[in-house]
Amino acid sequence: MTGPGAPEYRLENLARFANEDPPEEPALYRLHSEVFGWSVDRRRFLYTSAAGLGGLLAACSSGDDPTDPGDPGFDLLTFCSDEVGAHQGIAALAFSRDGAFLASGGTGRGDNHFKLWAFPSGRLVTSLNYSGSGFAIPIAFDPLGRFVATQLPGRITLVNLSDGSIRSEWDYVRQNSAGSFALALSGDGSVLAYADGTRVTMLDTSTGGELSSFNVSAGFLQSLDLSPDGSLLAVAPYGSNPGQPVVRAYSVPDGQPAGVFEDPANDYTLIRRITFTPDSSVLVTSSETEPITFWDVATRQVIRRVDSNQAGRGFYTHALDANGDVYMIGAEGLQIHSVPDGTSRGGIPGLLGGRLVTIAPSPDGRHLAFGLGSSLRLYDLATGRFENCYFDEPATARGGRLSYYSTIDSQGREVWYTLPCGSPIPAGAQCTCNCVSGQAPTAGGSSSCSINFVCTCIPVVYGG
Amino acid sequence: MSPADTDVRSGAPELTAEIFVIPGPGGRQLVFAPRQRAAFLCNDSAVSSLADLAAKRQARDRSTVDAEFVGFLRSLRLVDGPPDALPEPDVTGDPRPTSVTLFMTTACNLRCTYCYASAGDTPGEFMPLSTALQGIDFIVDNARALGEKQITVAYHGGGEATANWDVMTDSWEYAAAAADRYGLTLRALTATNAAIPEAKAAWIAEHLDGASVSFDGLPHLHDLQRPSASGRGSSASIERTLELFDRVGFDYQLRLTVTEALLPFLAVAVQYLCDNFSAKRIQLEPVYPEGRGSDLPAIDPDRFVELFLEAESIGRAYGRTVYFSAARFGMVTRHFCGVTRDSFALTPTGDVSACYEAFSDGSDLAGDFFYGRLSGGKGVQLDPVALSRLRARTVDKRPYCEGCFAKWSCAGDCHVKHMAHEGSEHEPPRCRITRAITRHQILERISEHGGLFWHEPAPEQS
Repeated sequence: MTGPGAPEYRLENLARFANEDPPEEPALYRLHSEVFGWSVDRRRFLYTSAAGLGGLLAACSSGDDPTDPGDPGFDLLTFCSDEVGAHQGIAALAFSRDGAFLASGGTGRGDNHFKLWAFPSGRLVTSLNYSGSGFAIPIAFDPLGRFVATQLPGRITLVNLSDGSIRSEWDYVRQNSAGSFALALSGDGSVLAYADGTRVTMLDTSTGGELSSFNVSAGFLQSLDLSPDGSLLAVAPYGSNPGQPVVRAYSVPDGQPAGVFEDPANDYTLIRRITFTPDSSVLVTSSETEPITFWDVATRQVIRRVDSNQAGRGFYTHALDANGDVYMIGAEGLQIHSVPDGTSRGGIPGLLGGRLVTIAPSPDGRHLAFGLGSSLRLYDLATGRFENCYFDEPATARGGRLSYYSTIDSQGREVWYTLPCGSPIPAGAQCTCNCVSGQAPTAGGSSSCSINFVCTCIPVVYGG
Repeated sequence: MSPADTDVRSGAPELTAEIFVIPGPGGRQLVFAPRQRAAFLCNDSAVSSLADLAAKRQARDRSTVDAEFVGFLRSLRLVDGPPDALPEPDVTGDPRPTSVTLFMTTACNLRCTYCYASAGDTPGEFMPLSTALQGIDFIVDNARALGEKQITVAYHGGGEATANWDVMTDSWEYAAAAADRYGLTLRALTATNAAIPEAKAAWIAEHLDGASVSFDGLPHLHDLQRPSASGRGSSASIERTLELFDRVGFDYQLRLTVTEALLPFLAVAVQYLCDNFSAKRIQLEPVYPEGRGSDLPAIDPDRFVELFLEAESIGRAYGRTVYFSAARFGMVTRHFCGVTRDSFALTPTGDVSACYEAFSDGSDLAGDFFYGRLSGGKGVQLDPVALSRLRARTVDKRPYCEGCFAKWSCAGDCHVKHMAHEGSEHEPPRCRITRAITRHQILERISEHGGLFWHEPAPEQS
């Protein structure tokens, strides 16, 4: 007796499977981890091979496709799930003004926390690591295209875009050992503002000299921005209670208080991101619990709000492009609005995020970089189609099983794609399949096939 | 491929593993063999073949495929493998603990709205130093007799352990000296609300090896749920303590009690904690209606699971472990906690308790979990009947859990929570949560191992 209402999952007690004679043959299904749940492959027949691993290796090393040759193709989106890692977790994304680089800030322990990628190839130009616990690492590009700035715990680093070398490094005394971080550059790149915990500091980027430093006692700071005209610094403590300012402004570079942005309708606002528009006239704040809010910088008053259409939830994050259009990720996907008049400029309804989502539109408005979990994806903004996902092998979790290959696109650019282990490898591609351990030259001699994670690939092989 | 290629042994294949079948995604079946640490996703027909094997029925006229399938099952050691054994031997003999939990006091400086102990509502009981020292003497003697190298002293509630500060610090000094004298390592831990003066926090960071800190994540919600005795918020004080812990690299974990108010903000709260503090482990527990929280609304278990998984993924992105105490996929055990294996905790009055929630002789749970008391001189006077009753609470002896696929990892969950549902025809909410999270963890493990199957034999089996 198992008692009333007791769970029953034992094979021998599941009558529905006893004496059945279903028309199907026994079959396994492949499981894919997606951002929003699970997907199951189309049914494939199972067979165990006497050749087993050897057969797979032989097929790989000979350049043959070790999988079902009749596979009608693949959906790259399906394959760019969390297992394709660019970081352990992605906290920040930004494009350089000329669109030649994409920078990402990570969160994970032991991961390279700052990465600079060539765009669109996805080639990793350089990375910086912090060996301590996970932190959300911010990044900011010099608007004049000379460098990108990042803030690892206790250190501000400027990286030259010309060659990926370190341009400057300045250590600072951290306010606490964990702390929240935020970083911004002025319109001419001459002033850098950063936050650590509740402390804000402004630096001269040519000398590293401290211009001002002060505490914002209202709480931990997770977002700040410098107005492109170089006049104002805006900071938002995470979590402002009713009656408290949502945003506090300070003059640049002396850090003197320059007013507050208050919202009588504000309940408890969890501001994740604040940004000035390119003309410095409007400040945009996004919150997980409130509508996205547009503020008139001159009057410090609310101009307009955009609701996420889901009660109690706002937008996870937002980003602005060079034209001043704002990109917002909420419960209904990506929405794009014109800041001046609030008109909708479309979006990608299916592009849903979670709370650890970050986005960056490319300067030409054609692409969107989308970071969620460990995956860094690129989307075509005109069509909403998935384009690619960036990949860094050390950031791919244990059990990560994928192939990646590079090819030359129609404009002569090298583009790297990622595929799961066992996927058909396009002809002519340079492949690396890390399904099982070992490395073997391909027949042509120009490709290699390094293979990892034996346990995931033997002794079962798919076949038609 | 021909049938001859398959590795089919002579004789009828025998299903040797305990198998559970769980509804999987996409209308498929998730086959799970917890004690062989294997799982895969398959169709109904495959489960039907498994049922044939279990019933020792003749394979039907699909011999080739079935033989291939049997070969696959054999590679996972589900067929013709070693028989499933109980995870651990029975606990027998007199308890010889080398760890002691000291319930320092029932007094508390906070008045948490959900406190299971209703700490602070009654006149405080404080453990005298002599009781703490006798408990320490007992575990030191055991460690020496058993040849163990380490003793563990844990400072716990029902109230706030640091409220009995002198006894806490003096007993630690005593334990450290005893360990030093006999060449033992002292491991000292505490559970604290962390709303404590900086000097106490600094002492803990310097002298103890770890702490579990109750902090409900977002300061404004924390202040509503965990006010001080005077009604003021406690978050600022706790954040100061955590910052101190982080500065010196002290190892601590955070525990959030998830109420209806906190539930919608669960993922936000975990991200806030990850952004601002260095705790490597974050425990999320749904509020349970007991003590001062008896009248609080229970949270929806399905909603909890949804938001737990979101919070867990955020924690993982930061390299942190976010967990729920009963979802321990990967473990294969008969014991949820120390209750069934002679956990040794001392109340202020010298009673021996097996459960952290039975912390004083005034507790309603004392009759269920007390199994002895300190003797007048040295050592412990045991109640063998009570001890036997506690040891018999392992999951393999619980009828309710027999058919549950999560039983070897959750091991029957918290005994206090389980007792509250005994005899009920309704599914306990914690069981529903445990099964949903465990199912997700199985699927994750399959996905991490290539998407087809998971098989990680325990080291002693491989």
